[in-house]
Amino acid sequence: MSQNQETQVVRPNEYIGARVQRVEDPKYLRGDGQYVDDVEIPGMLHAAFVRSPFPHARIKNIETSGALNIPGVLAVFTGKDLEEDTGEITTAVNRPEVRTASRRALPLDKARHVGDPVAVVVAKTRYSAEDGVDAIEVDWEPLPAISDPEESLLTSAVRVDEALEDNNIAHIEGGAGDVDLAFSEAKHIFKKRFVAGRTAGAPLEPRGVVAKYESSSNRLTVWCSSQCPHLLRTFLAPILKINEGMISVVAPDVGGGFGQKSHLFPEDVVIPAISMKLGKPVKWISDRYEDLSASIHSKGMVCEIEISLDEEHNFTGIRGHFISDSGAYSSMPFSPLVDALLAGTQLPSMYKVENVKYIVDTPLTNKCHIGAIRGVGWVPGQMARESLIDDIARELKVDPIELRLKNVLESVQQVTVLGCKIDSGSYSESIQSAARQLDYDQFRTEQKEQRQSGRYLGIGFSPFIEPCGLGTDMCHQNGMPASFHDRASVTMEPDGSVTVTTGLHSHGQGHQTTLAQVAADKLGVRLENVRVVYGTTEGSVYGMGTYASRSAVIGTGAIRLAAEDIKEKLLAMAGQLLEASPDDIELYDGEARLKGAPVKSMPISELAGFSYFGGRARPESIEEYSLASTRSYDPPETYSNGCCGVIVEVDTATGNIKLLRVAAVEDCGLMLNPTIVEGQISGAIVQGIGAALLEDAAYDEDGQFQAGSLMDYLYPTATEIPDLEIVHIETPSPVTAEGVKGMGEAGTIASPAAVINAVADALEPFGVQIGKSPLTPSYILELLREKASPSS
Amino acid sequence: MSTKPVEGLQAISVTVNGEDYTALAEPRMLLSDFLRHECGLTGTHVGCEQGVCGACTVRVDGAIVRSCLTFAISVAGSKIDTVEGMAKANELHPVQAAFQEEHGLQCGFCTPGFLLTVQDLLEKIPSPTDQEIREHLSGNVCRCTGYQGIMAAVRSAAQKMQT
Amino acid sequence: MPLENEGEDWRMLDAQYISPRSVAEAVEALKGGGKDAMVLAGGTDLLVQARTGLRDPRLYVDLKRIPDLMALDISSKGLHLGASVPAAQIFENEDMKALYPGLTEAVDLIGSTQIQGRATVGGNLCNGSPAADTVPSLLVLEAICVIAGSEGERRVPASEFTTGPGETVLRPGEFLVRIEIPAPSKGAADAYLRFIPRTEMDIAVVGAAVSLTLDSSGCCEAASVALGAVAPTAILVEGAASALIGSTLDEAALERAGSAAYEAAQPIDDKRGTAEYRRRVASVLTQRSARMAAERARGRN
Repeated sequence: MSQNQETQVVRPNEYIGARVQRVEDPKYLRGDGQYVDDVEIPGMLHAAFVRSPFPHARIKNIETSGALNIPGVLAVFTGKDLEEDTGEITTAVNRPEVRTASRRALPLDKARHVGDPVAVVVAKTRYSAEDGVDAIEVDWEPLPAISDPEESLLTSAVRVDEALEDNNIAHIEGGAGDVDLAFSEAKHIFKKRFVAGRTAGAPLEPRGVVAKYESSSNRLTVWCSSQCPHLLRTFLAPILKINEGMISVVAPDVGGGFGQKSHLFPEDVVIPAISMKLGKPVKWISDRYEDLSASIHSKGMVCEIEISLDEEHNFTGIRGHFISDSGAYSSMPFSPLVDALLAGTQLPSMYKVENVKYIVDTPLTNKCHIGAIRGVGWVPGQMARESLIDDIARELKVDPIELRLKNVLESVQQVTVLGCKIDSGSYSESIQSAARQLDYDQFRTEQKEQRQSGRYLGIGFSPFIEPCGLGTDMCHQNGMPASFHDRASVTMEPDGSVTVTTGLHSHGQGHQTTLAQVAADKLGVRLENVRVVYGTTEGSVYGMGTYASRSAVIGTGAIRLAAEDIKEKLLAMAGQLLEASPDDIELYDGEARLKGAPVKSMPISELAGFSYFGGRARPESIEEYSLASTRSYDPPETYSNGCCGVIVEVDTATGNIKLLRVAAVEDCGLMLNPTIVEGQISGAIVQGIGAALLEDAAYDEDGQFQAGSLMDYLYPTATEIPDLEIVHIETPSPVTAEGVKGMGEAGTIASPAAVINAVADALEPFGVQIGKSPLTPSYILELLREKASPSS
Repeated sequence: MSTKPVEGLQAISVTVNGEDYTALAEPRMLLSDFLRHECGLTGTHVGCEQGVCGACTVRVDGAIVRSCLTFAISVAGSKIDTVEGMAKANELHPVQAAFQEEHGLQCGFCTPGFLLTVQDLLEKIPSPTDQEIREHLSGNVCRCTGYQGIMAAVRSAAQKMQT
Repeated sequence: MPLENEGEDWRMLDAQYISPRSVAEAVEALKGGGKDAMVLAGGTDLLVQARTGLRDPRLYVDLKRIPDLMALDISSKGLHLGASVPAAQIFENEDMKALYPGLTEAVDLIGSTQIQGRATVGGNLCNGSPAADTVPSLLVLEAICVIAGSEGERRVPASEFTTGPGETVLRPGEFLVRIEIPAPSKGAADAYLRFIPRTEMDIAVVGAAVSLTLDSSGCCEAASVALGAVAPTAILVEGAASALIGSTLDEAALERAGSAAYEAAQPIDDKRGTAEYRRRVASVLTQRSARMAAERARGRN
């Protein structure tokens, strides 16, 4: 890993911006992590689900007697058995164009995709619960299934959800300027159709739920591998018909989320419901087939995109039609719009183009439903747009970097044509930096030489913008009006140690470290004296959880505000005790010191003790004894940006693609901890490479799922991935706390299009145009077969 | 072990991290489930039960195996090493320390499997090339790190364990 | 309609287990278990299949503790490879690498490091997968499978062992004891290449093994070519072999061998590649594999 620009220099025992080692690591390294399957409760029962083998089938009868005869099996529940106890799961988006859709946790009438749960078996062990599943006989009536999203839009199409008027959850149009005029006056018009493959988040820890209901106190505790414990509780309460305050949700250590675990799943409802019915603790741990076939898919989308240019090759207009292959249900809470609509609202990305038009459709299909996975719909949108821009450059015989530099936004605060309030950025700079990192000019020379000897190398770039720090404004700007913000509580304990609680969750992001860095600096204490608490609704303030690259921005903002409240009190007390004006005192390294005269100081721990126990000696201005504050933060819009560059070699005999170099230029404002930023970039880039080359949550023409194991849903392994070359640009945000921006999704937005462009560049002599992902070797040879030999 | 087929619950004894464990299990019980739920050693994680992800990697008589593809009964009497046995008291194993120093883990779920695989690699090849590292690690998948921190950790651990 | 074997319901049936210490004991145990008895070697395929309901063994006969099955023996007569020898023990053997480099590479391709400590060539063969990595190599090396059963031992050529996807000549109660491969003649060498979308841990889209013998002038005296994953079983491609025999393995001969492989392949379309794709890659790998075997053979003359 290379870091071209070392980041800001910090004082010893100041932490924001420093490469602090993660404080949470030792427990994971010793095998002491506590994940949901590690929860053991005396008397706990185990559940296993009966799932549909058909993409679409009516349930005529479910015969459970065979299962109940198996030793250890205690109960079986079907949709009918839970009908009275549980309400519907309803997905609504606050826009007139969007249809509200409801479902039951276990269906009453039919299964809508392969893997759809229809009954649950409860037994003494997981093994006997699985035996029970095997012994249940479902009388199915297979129904015609729909697997093509464009076909699903036809009025004649099979209906996936009979309660809706048609299959389309929403048809939305938006834009700016006069795109028709722009196209009619254009010198050049280019268009392409790009079909993005389905991906799965596929965290290494599958989903799981444990529920324990105590009828004597009407208290329900739910352990769930979730990215958002409080939000899950808010969703569950009305469905389970129990007060939110009576439910505790614990999201313990979570083995990766990537967006998947920010949704509400049927099993999240069923397991608590049956625990409440049986009065016993119940555990369900998903196996990999269930996790892949019946969690959340993402990015399956048909993209039609067109760009018009004037004589000078300025982009004058852009049109996009995004049709999400939405799956069988409107996912809770984000709906399939999180893919297709976000592709639309970020259609022009970082390009200055005055005339924009997007159309979005989200038809249901008989597949696993589409929801929010890292990079969301920005990824298909980016693949379509950036690969079209490269196609244009080849067609017009101009350099793809020059074409982009000509059209990219200036790196200043501005409002874009679609209304994005860009706070700051480094658009040209990041493209140039990626080109420099990959020795662009030199590569072009080498590429020519290698082609002479039959080796096909290619280079591709993908500059991106990442809407991040998801707050209310950003939600509205992306067309999904909703309230998003978060809180943190900061408490200085009587001994001067600090406890931060937050409803943000960490499942790999390292919040116990980064959020502690913020609190430590804002209160001038040592990092080891700060503890960050999250993951339980009991133990932390209400929050909306971690996804959408929001936690660094919002956590920093909320913690800073709360810490400032405490700091004000500490300074007032220090002023009294040091006989100085509070304005002249700083908190640093565990001490309150007189600025410029650090000999005059006192430990912060004494100030804390004084605040709690100083009685009437405390300054009269401080009425409140405790050193605690809870503050919320709802950030304005903020946008990270950067550019990914990739060099590949394509074996034109087998279609095999080998990554030779990958450069990631990232500008996420001020970095709280560059090491953690690099970890996020690396993981996200590689996830994107997976989407570009390997990962395909595919269905066959009959709607059967083809990717039910990790031998079929292929992750990248260490052998595919070269050492990444990471370059930082640090343009602080002028609008967020500390100038921090989010960056969890950046790499996944950027890298797929860079890979596609590199492959297309390698195959430039054959004149191929790439129209889908993933780029399987089979697909590459198909493209090459259409163009039998190099045309040059 | 008898030469007659056994069925139903069997007393299975193994030595894990130097301690003896005996528990009742059916013949079909996987070693991963046996370690996690019968021995209470939950540091071994189950990511796929399909023998692909490597999170369940443990060492059986020194060799790394996938505990999700191994019946507990078939390794009865064996010496098993799991992640819980790597650190000595307050001191992390050099491979563990290198993972922390080089940011070789994020969510921590794949980590135990990686640690045992890396330990095995460095015992066999004390100074591995990058290619040897990548090939040896190819049976462990990580969804969080993109392998960058892991590669750095292995290189660093190799160097430290040499000196 | 029952769920049984529809979709991939994920469970493992209750079963009995036995760990015999001799071939005779194993024969006896299998006899008692009837058709629901299955032998367990490394278990790396069988346990996955049992969990997905593809196979439902009620008795596991564990062959990992029978000394005869754990022996790897190389002599002037050739190789005797016990059916339960773990893959790692084979590809770490220097004699194996020197004498049968292609087969050794194929063994090295079985699964990941963790699998290789338990997976076996016997299991790879008996599993009956058309994509099994070691089978094309066993075919071109004219391996003989020695099978034990209640009727005693019988010997079956590797080329006749697999009869269809998941199907072998093994009758109920029989199991593979060892594989015998003749010693390579002077000027002979083998090679194996496979293509998979992911660099490691994936199922072969095509595998191609070539064994050939060169005379002192570099002319090909004998050749054998086998392909995996392009038909219901691994296949010997005689057309490809005859294209090589008598040639100096020049480009024209290699291309003819490739075309023969293309013609002989009868693959299916699936997620990993279309039939046409597999046939093209079969041709490419046959040529590359032959080139590699030729280089090795030249080194031995």
